[in-house]
Amino acid sequence: MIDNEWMAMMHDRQADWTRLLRAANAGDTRAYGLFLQAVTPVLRSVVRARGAGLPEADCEDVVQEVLLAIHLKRHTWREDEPAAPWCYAIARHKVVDAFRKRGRRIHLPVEDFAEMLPAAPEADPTEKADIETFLSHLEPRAADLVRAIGLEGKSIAETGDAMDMSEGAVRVMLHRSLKKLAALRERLIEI
Amino acid sequence: MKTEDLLEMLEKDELREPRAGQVLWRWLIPALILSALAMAGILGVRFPMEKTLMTPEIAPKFYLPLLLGVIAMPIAVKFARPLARVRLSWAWVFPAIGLLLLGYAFVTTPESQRMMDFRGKTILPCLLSIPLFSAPILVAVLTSLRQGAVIAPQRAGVAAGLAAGGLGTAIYALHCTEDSPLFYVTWYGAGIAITVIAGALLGRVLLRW
Repeated sequence: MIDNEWMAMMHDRQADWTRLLRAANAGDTRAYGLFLQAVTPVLRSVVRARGAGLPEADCEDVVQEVLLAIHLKRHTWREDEPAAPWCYAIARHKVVDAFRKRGRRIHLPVEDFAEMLPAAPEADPTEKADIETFLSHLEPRAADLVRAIGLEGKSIAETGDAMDMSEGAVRVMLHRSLKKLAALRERLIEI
Repeated sequence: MKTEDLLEMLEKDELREPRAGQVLWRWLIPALILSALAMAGILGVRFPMEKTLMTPEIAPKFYLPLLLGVIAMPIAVKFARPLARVRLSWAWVFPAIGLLLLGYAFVTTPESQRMMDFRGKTILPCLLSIPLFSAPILVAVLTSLRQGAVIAPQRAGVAAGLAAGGLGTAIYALHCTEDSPLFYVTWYGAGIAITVIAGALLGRVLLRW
């Protein structure tokens, strides 16, 4: 049953995501973080609901692949467009692709995303891909940098100081490492 | 890798990739220069150019494909954005104009000469040259589209093929000496069709992400 409350909530999601992504484009990294935090549980719900039979750890890997795609393709969103349908389009494409690589064909109408409630918050979902494998594919300095930012939660500036690099160089190396991660995942290397 | 850790990195990565439209110029201009130089170097431009560009019955063989290319190019690039609404049905206007030209030429050409005009002397060079001069342009458009998030790779490939085929054909028209619409509508059309099919096939392969 579709009641008014539910409609209002979905409407809010549209407005919230768009507002957050616009702020993110304007340089507000906190807003970008909130955007990603809001998108993740919705993706997780869709992937689990559609991933019939796929182990939970694989599902989480798919969620991560979609997050990477949303991140690396965010320049294909225009500020006058609503952010939620854009996210759904990217996610749908990527989820279908991720399942195909794992030998499964799924039918995934884009409406699934719009109608899906976020998965209930829970303790860290397990995932299959191991960060150490990813790090082993990076050159040593990039691996150190990913460790500092991803695992230790250091800021760009702190990482730059610790590694004796300019902030600009840290940014470029982080971006390249994420592109590399997406490329490795594309080849279905489990990291 | 924990999703939390990944989000941490994504949040801090402020660099954004350039848009497909920004990348396009980087590839398109060298591609056009390459095709034009290849045409001029291998086949040679037909002089005087006014004959091609200013004679009413001959000029469409240059301006029509040029117009197709110029219209299709920005439309092809729109496929980079998942939410862009892209229509391709307008493209049928071009075969329609072609048919009108063909009909006009059929009526105004004496019956004894129709078959000669239609066959011309250069069907094969034409069918080879058009896809060849379109190829660098096609590669340029598809490479730019890879920068985007193409949801409909085959249709995007068709649009890229129309853009590349149009511009490639305009370049070839500056060399070609076949001046009857019976020839150029038919065989240029076929050359463009080959390019469009190549675009659709390549799009399916190259525009995955």
